[in-house]
Amino acid sequence: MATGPSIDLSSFTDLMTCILGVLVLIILLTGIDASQIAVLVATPKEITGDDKSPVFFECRNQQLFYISTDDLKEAVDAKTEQIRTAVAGDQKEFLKQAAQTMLEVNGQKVDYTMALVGKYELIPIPDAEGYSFDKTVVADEENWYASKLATIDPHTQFICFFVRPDSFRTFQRARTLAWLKNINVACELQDERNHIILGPGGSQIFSQ
Amino acid sequence: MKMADVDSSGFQNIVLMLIGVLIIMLVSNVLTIISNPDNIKIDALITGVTYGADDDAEKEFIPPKFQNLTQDPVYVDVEPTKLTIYYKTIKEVSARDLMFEGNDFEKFLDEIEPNKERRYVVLLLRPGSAVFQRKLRQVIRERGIDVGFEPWETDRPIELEAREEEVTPEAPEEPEAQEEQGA
Repeated sequence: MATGPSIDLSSFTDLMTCILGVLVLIILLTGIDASQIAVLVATPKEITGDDKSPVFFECRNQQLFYISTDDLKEAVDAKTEQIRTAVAGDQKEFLKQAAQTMLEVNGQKVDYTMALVGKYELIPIPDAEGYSFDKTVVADEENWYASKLATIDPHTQFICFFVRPDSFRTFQRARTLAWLKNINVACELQDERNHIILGPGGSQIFSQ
Repeated sequence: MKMADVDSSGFQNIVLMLIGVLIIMLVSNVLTIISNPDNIKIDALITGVTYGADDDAEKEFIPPKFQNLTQDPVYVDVEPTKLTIYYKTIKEVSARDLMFEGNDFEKFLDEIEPNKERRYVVLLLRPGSAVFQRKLRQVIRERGIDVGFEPWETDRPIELEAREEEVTPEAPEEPEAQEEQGA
């Protein structure tokens, strides 16, 4: 085997090792910088021009409550039928019983007499249990909220969140998941205990 | 004195490979930094809109589909009995003052209205301001100014960065500049 002149590569090795050290340092610095990037989202503006219909949720006690007008109507109709059968056609007795009736639907008390005239006045039940999110938000997770989102058509519907002061975090998480499903969101801030009234005569809610 | 010959070619190969790997990591980091939304100058920036401050998933980036990228925001902090306007200067207006004509909020809307294609008002809603914000929202809507909302915790600070003043219609000869605000 032919042998050539021997070359001393120790300087080259030192150089490489130095470069390696400097690179590690740079990567540490850029890595720290890269990991501190904040996710910033421009606040959506209110869309007054579209004709999407709202689907309601309430954020209360760091929990999510579904407000379904279909469920409310169904409960009111069932109660009407029940009272009608009980009073056997007596109008006065019907009105008397109606005035004393409160319904409970999805964590809300519903004023029955108001519901008869087409307005749903919802009174939050303080110890009602709704849906609460885990610490981390997972987009494709199968859960109660995901199943509700799956029933919403982004082209014709949007979500309106009634947000109580104690549940801003729940709202943010719920909104994130709604956005991921391409669903527009509206936010209606509420006071701690005020009643939510749905029906004619109120102000229109626009999506954002 | 004769020293022992050491073959360092194996070590050199490892060092070279390590340098290659580190360069790839460096490029990856630099690309991540370049894709920082700060650098692409999105206005109306609110952190925590998609994630809470201490969420584990905070660093994930979700392409927000509904964000308003066409207009610059002007922030109004709405508290139960007063509002604070963050526009050029910081101005506080009490709810009682709004009953009088020519109040600071009306003046502010007068300034925004000619630029409503470029600007929109973002109401930062503090707990307890539900009734007050509905009135404000109505007034803003009547002017045809776009509006957005963001619930904002009581103790959460508002941090804004301002650029140079924007060009007003009265001073068209000044060089064009924008005011950028990011919370």
